[in-house]
Amino acid sequence: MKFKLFKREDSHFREIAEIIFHFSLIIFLILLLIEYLVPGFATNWFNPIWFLIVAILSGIITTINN
Amino acid sequence: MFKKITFILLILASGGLLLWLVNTNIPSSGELVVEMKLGKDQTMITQLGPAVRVKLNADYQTVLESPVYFDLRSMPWFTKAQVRLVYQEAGLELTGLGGQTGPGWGYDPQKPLVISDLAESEEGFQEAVFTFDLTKIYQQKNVRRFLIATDPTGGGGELRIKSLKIILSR
Repeated sequence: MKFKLFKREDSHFREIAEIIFHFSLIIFLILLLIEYLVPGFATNWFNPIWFLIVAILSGIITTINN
Repeated sequence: MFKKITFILLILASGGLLLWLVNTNIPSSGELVVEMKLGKDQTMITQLGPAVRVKLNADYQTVLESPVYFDLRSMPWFTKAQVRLVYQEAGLELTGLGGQTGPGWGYDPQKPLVISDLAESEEGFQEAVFTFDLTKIYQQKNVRRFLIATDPTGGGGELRIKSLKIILSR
């Protein structure tokens, strides 16, 4: 029973990690494109590299759980 | 269900982020205020430099020698800038502020449009207002360099800068 419960939690965790991976990667790419067209649009306010870091971390979690 | 909620939350968060970015960069008022943090480089405005010509004090920065420079990084749709400089002359007179006119060393310092004395709480400090047409200032990518020029009034001295605020407008 306990084993099943952990399994289910793992699956949820992986699914969320997968969604976060896609989102953060897409947002990073959108910001990269905007930044290329209008330098400073995003980087004047924050560093978009955090989205890439989140994407890499969630990607690693997804891969490990697979 | 859990997956759907996460998905909706992320859609809202990313939409909110993009809307916030657009609203910040293209303000509905048409004006964006950029304020220099003395002694600190920011992404939109750098500190005054070179470092050997300035000195940071508790609540103001001292210009020891002329000229000093700062860089402004602004969006292309902002074509006008109003610079508000709060300063005190202590042996060095503020003669002008100007943008770079071309590659290499070339500046066009302007005299302030208005100089006004500040309230009693900031005794001795004055505010000078300058306006610039940003389209006429040389830029590399979207960075423009400005110069603050001073002139010694006696046997040397300093110019104290308390704040530098730039109001960008379309």
